[in-house]
Amino acid sequence: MTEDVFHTARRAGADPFFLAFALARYAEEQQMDEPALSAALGATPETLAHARLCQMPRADPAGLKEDVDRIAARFGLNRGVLLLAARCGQVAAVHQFAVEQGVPEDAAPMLAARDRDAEADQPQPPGGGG
Amino acid sequence: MAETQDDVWLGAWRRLVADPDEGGAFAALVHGPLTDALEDRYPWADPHAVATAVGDAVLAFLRRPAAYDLGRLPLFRYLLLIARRRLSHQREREGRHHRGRIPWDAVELAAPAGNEWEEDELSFQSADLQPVLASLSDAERRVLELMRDGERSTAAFVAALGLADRPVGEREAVVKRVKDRIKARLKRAAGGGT
Repeated sequence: MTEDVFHTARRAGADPFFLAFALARYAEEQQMDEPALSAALGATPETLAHARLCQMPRADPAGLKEDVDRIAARFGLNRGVLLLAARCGQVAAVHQFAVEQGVPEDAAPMLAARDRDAEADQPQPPGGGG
Repeated sequence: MAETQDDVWLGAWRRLVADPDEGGAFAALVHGPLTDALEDRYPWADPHAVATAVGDAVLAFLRRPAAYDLGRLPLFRYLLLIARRRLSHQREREGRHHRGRIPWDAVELAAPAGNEWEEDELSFQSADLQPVLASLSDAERRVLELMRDGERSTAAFVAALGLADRPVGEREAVVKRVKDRIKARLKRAAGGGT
């Protein structure tokens, strides 16, 4: 995998279609640079690029878990961190969509409620096992 | 029998359509060859712009891999076409940015609009044009691609035709002659007269 591909994978972080978007928003929220994100995920530069170019996991709880489990297993990533990142990205994607579409701010509590519902499946924090 | 590049790419495309986690593998496979091909066709282009155009094309393709119709164009050409268009759009944006600060050559062929590349490609698949297209030399083919991209800089055509060592006046005359000849041949083949 060349530097150009790494660069393209990073650029996918601007697009909510890609998991890269979730990883970028999570890294921002956690104030992580790329090495810190890689370390938290247990990723190499190659597996991080592969993960970034995956599609964003589905939004429903079952689909989210299934997609995160599959991606984590395939690329050897920390499942807990990936799940946190995916949730972070989904919330950011909805907010971005709302801003672009001019949806009122009171849509946000629905997102928070969804996050609370999902807390029953609380993943391990960064640094925990995969 | 050894697999061709088309076979390998089509296999990767099929895996990508079936598996949303194959984006990285697909990008790793196509990025380098597309970059090389685009650099070959546009040796004067900024390598960073080429890499960006290829990246844009790959990301656009990854979003909708199932939209590719393998009956219309080989995958390599399809992706290269998208990348060419992205590069062309970058150049147009830069052109607008720099307008008034750099001299432009006379415009002979209007640049196709942003989303017309598919129609442009289809029109060039017309059976009437195939004998003419097949008879073009490599240099003429590069010139035609530049014309289809709406290239305005004579320097680009000079490079495509390998005329850099000729006197300036001669370069412009040769470029004009080659462009006119290609247009006339295509026009005749399409039934547009001489």
